[in-house]
Amino acid sequence: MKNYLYIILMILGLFPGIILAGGFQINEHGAKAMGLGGAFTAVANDASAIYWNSAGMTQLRGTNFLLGSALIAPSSSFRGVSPSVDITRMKSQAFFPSHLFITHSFTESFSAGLGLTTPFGLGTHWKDGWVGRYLALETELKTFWVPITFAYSPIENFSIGAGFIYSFADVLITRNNPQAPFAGDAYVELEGNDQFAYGYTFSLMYKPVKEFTIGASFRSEVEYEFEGTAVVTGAEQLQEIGAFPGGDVTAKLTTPMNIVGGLAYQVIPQLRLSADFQWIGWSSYDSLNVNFVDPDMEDSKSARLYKDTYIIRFGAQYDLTDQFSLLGGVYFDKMPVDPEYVSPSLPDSDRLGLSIGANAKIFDSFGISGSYLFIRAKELTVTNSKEIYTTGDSQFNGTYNSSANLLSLSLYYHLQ
Amino acid sequence: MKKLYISISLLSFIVLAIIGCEDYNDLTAPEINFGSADFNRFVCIGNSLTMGEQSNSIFASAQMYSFGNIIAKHVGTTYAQATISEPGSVGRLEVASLNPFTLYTNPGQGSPTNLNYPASYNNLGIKSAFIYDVMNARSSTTCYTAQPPFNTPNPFFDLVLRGLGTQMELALSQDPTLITLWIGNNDILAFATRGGLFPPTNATLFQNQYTQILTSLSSTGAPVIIGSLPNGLLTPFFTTVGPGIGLALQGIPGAAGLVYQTTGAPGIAVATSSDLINLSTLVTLSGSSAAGLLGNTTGKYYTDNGIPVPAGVDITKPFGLTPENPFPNGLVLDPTEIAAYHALRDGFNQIISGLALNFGYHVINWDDLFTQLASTNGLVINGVNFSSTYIQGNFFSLDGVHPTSQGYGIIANEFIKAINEECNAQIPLIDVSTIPGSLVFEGQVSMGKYGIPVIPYGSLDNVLF
Repeated sequence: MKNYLYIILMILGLFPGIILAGGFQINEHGAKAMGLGGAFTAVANDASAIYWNSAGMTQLRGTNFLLGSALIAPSSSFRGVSPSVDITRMKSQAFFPSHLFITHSFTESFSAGLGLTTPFGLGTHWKDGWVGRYLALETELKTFWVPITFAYSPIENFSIGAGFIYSFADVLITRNNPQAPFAGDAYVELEGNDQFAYGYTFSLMYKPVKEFTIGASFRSEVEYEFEGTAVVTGAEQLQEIGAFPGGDVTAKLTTPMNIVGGLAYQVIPQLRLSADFQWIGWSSYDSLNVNFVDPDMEDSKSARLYKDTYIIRFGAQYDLTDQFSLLGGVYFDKMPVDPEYVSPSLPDSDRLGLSIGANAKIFDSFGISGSYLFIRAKELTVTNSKEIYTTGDSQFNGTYNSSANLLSLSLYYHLQ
Repeated sequence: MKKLYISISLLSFIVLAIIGCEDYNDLTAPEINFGSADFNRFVCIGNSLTMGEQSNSIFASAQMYSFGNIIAKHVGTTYAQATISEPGSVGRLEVASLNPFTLYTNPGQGSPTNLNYPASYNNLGIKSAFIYDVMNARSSTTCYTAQPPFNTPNPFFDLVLRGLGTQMELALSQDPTLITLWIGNNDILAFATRGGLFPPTNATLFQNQYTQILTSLSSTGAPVIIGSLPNGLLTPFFTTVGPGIGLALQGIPGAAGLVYQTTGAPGIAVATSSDLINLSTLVTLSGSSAAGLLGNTTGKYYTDNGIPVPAGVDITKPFGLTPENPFPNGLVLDPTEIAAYHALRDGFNQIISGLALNFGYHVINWDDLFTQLASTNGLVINGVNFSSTYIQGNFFSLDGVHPTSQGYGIIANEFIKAINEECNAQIPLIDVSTIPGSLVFEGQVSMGKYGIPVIPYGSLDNVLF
């Protein structure tokens, strides 16, 4: 029969793509920065300056090591699909994005740094059989950056920085596909690796007066080209007629550029307040296309339509003694996507972050920072979803609630 | 100054922490306006269509989508059914292969899973129940088909009734608050599915029984939603095989058409290929395997089915192409029988609507839905395409007569519309696209030539509504 073409078309039509989704930036690169709510661009006074503001490296003398990790425990729930009020909770998971930064000052005015960190990542895992299984089951993206940065101070109180980023990434996406009119679900697994991608950074730091610092930082887009395999398992009878797309795929993902401006003000000797405005060029993530290497397979395109957005950050550091400081921070992270494009692979929403932390210098050359960050995403009710979750055109409307608990610990070591 | 900064910082942090921790998870279930509809004791009387049959079998994963259960879950009421575990009652049809399309009859059998339910079932639908059965049948041996000349006891009566009484008695015993009644389909459809060889119920008996049923139900004071008798000849059971044979005949030089046996005079008749293609003569889905034997000169049709070769049939002549070896009568619904079917159905539906009017009950007329399904463009509901095309149409299950789970969802919506009208309610319709597909594959498995599905012999012998 000519007829089974419709099954093929149906399944392809529902291959909306490989959802990497946006808002998957990770800003936890050092416990101290996290404790300050990420308002660190004009501070950048430890080795994590390699990420936050490489111009800040000129503040450091000798060789500095910073090693640490964050524990991220996100939780999300989805209530719906409306009018249903059933709640599905995301599987609990923990992620450990880690960081290592090394800086060295060659002269009073010239420093270099090398690091390893994970600026973009995503991990959502919904339970099998949940209502949104045709949109997302498990989505995992890991990116690694190896920045090599240089900072130079041409005049006193002013420095500039630049860097090259070597990057690689891998991605895993799983979800179900309906086999309707036949019973049961097919299972789609897509894995991809990116071998090499690159980016660059520029930054500056200026101290017009002793108490006041201005910082700015630019981090470029990084374009990843994933190569991988799509494996679809479903009813053998559908496999036999080639109803499922599969095989080698390629996909591009461009992580957004960031432009950050920050201020820091030493109010009194013990207290420093800092603030950042971070602009994120999420519009780089306008669509997600997966191309099958086999020309007979129809490529998949899906609109993500992320938009440029911003984060506003405030932080405070209070030094109780010369050796011990308390940290606090708050930030507001504006969601980069219209609610109708929110996908359960990444329950995006406006987010409020609240952090506290402490920084302790144990010896002259060794110290430790720890911080805790609570992120509350604003409850988001989607009423006109463009995400279609069944064979029909049923919209994935409902309410998302997300929050996350983060802990971070960094050790630093100073070598004169 | 220092204290002030600290105080302000601390205070704002606490305020923000409180805002941040606010629980947004309060649930407000959507209000549904039920009007006067009371689903507390919701009872459904009927046959296999009410029981939730799919693909020639009753099994739990299909019964979940009986229209009564769909409605009950939708409005949040309890609803009990006589369920059978997978693979269900004997003879479930499954897809063995898609190319070519081949069916497989699952020889396995499930067992009842809800026999100890302490009260009467809400779903009193019984596969192969006739109109007579509602008021009279108490067991497999007292049901309509157990009587001469059929002599076929129907074990589904024991499963659903459990010796506690008739369908009507069990319905009344629950003091129902809302009733659906969809019965009488088998009284005419059996005639059609057997190619006119099964006698239809006579109109007097039909009227008499329907009157008794409605009289009994009226004692409850509950609203009764009645399903009329849909046009069964629009189902794939009747529309799939004939056009395929028509195409095949065009490829056989000198063939006048399908030569078939008739019940009365003239004994032998011929359907031309255009008669078959435009459905003025129908060949049933049970005739699928026989269709593949067109022109056969070995008597394979009879040996495969284990039937003795009828007197006067010469199996050495081409099967279905010559008067000496005609296509069997029971697989063909000829124009006379088609006319008889329509006359019967119209008569029964008039009886139903007339009585319903007397009692003030709402009748669902299925004609628009079935006609739309049979139309070229089919029907799009919640973004899903439905038509009466076999398999691809997605409305009918593998037996060509009973709906798929999504098909039952569409039927449930028709009942909800009727309840809304009758009870001045505004119950939202079910999103049919959220119901999963339900056609079952055989563990490991193409329509044959001319688009005629390969269906094992005898596997559709028990198809009734």
